[in-house]
Amino acid sequence: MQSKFPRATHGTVPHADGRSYSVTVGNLTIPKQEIGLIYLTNGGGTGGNPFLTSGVLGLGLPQLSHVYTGRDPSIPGDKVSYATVTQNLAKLTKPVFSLALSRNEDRSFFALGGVPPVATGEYTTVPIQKVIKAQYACPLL
Amino acid sequence: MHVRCCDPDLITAPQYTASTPRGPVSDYLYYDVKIDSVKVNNQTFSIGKVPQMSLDSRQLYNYVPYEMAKAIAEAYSPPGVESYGQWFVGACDAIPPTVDLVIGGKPIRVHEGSMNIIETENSGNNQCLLPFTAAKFDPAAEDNFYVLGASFLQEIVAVVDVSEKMELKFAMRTD
Repeated sequence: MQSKFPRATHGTVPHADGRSYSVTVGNLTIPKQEIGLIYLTNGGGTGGNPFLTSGVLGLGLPQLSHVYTGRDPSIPGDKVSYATVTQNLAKLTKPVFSLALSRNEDRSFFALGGVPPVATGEYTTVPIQKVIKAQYACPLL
Repeated sequence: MHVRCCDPDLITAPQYTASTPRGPVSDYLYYDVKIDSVKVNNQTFSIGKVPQMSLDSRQLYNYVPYEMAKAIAEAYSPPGVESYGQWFVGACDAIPPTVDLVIGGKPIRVHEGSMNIIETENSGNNQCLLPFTAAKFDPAAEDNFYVLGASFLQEIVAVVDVSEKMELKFAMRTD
């Protein structure tokens, strides 16, 4: 799937727990996806500047994606992992996504399963680095 | 590509307790890339240990070691200056240096159009924030977050392979 910044949409709530949605990105639909619907983030703009943010589609790694069954994130037993949008989209296509950003909106692409149709020079390939650092509890505020 | 979970201003809040595991971890947490070196105006810039940096398209700016941000700012014509603590500002129409991040042995040049962030001009004063800012959230910390943001990602293709390969690929656009 290659698209110029597709609109990500979610449908009605199919699960009684109220946390699973159908999520469509471009022409790919995940029928049951747990997502966090963000209503507050740290950093509404960038550097204090009110740049427009019309939505956030998290493409982070699963190690940072979890929810808490209660409201107190300090209770380890309440921490639950789930398959992320990235993981579930990978099941529908290849486990690859790419970004080609440009100030020109017509030249901006987000591609799932491959690379966007733009000409490039030679690619450089490097491993994703693991992180060694202190572990913090991060509540979904 | 992700919303960073723990920005330092949140870390200062009492979010963990003694019952929360918080020992060091070694895991895939961010899309972190190792930078071989940095070239400013084609001169390799020595910043000592060049850190691994997190790709984060949500951030506009690149958060780098203070010395690196300062050197890049001073390479503008006219030179940029430090402002507001960790930020650097310069004339919106300043001539920027070339900045190459050497990744996997190959230089990836920050696009010229990202070197002057003209949207940050206030009141027509011809002062703009520069795209490389100091990541000195906590100068004493060794694990500051270093970020390559959207201003780095402009006009390149960044590929994230989350198969068992766990690779990042970068190429400069030629279209």
